[in-house]
Amino acid sequence: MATNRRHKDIEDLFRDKFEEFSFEPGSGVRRELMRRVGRKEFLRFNPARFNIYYLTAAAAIAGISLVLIFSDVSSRSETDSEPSSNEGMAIIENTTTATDATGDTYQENITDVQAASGEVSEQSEGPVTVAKSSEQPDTRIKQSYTVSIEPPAGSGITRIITVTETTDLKSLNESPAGSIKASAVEGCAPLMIRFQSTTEGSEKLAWTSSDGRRSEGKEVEWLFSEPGVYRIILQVTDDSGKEDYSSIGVTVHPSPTARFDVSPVNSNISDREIMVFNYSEGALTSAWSFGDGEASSLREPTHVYGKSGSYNISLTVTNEFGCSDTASLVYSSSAGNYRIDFPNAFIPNKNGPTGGFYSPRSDEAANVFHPEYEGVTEYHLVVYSRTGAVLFESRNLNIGWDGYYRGQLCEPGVYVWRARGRFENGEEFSRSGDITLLRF
Amino acid sequence: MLSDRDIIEGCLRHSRKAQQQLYDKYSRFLLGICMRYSADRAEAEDILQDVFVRVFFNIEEYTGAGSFPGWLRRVAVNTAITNYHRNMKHRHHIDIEEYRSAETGTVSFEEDLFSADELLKVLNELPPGYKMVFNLYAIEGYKHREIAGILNIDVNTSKSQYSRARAMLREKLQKLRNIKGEYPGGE
Repeated sequence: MATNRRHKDIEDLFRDKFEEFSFEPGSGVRRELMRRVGRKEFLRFNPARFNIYYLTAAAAIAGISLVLIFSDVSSRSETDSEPSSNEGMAIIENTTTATDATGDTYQENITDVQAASGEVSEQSEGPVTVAKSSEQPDTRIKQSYTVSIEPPAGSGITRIITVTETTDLKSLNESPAGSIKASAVEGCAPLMIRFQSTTEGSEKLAWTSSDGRRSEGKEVEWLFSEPGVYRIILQVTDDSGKEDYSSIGVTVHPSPTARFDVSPVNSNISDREIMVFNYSEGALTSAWSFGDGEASSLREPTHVYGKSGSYNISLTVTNEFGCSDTASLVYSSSAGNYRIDFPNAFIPNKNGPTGGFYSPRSDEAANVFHPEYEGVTEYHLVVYSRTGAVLFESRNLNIGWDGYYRGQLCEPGVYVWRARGRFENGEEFSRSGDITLLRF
Repeated sequence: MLSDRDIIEGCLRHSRKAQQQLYDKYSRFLLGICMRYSADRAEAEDILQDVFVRVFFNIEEYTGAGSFPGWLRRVAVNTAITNYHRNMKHRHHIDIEEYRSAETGTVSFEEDLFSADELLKVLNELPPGYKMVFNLYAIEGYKHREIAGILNIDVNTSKSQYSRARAMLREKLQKLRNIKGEYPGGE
């Protein structure tokens, strides 16, 4: 056929030209692609190829568990010293020999047993070395250490103090040094803790924390914003210049961060079905509340709102330490978006009546006269000829006019329509207009 | 430059080097395909990324039957179709002006009259649905029945869209030819 030959010409033209058609992608494409591939690889465990990320993750987990174990053990033995980072601070370092645990609350008392004067620790600067010395015969005392504090170079002073550690709670009462009362010894970052000295007298009190904070006074309130294990040391200097030390350990757990975004699943049709994107960090579990009484514990649930309106969506994430964070936002579902719009022209399918069934996807060529709408519950469309005869009638939103009347394609021209119905919010609508039937 | 075979084997092991090689070797060819299915270059590059992610993570689906570039091409076309479905919004309401292109005269075109860039530009002026059908039928060689399945449309819709797309292209190319002044008027 002659027409086919001509049509082929255009096809060949395009096919030939596009066969070898190539384009140089921008340099950013490659970088972005490799980033995406890297991310995807990371999330995809591949035993065939030993993944460096998993090795790192395993090492990190091992490290964290070690820290946890040690912080547990350190309720008996202190290992969290920070040498040479703090001037003038006596750091007590020892290794445990105690095998019999006696209590949950642990207090460490460091007693200066040397008949020494009080000017010592205050002025002492420089590194502290600890050497283990002989066991004391006292049954109450589990360990004893010799702590030598090196004075500043050139001062010519050498001091030796012996530190004893007790685990017997009774002995604390007898101890001349006051103990520490803390508002919390464990918690989620950021954690505000108030430390109080239980001493009654007029001693001079100096507080030091293992992250280098210092303060004076009967009580001190510190905010720990970074997760970690901290040790707080209280130095008590009485009127005679005699020094005592107490210390307490606190553990600050990391907190997760709750963050999310909401997007309609299909903004094309309705935004009552929503999809959430969970961007939370460090979270183990998620708890969603959608503001309409519905909840979910999935990481990224979808949700359908029965009615349009404003909803407070909140997400609470919790990590393995029980630390949690909450984020929320107000989501307007449908936002009062009720509408119905009609086109002013359409082109019936020439091959015969289609029945008028359509969907936004199937009617790209505008073969069916139908509205575009949101939130419509009741609907009644009537199409009239110019003489007033009813050509088409539909109460079904999914069926529009295919341009045929009693199996015959109608003439090209203008037709009149009227649509009545009700939106989901109860509001009634009534529209009318004309529609041009086109034929090519 | 590695051979296709080496590249495929490397990609099966998720070797980053092989993936880079695959990209270097075929990105231009695949972007050429993506361009035909996109409104602009940025969209084409987005599709290209999706194509490569699919290729890298589904390389085992290439069984060795048929040519490797042919397989890549199919992945690219399928990705472009997915993208088309995802981006489709309110496209069933097309401006009435689009239909004013009646079939006028009989025309054939000199082979070297238009450059690939010009053809691409003309193709991009088509409504998205028409462009899809034309791409799939005329260039990729799908049947109307297959296209109807892919695009979720009626077979007759595919046919009629195709004939309209062709008519519009013809008109546009004629205009372009007149502008170029080499072959004034229709035949």
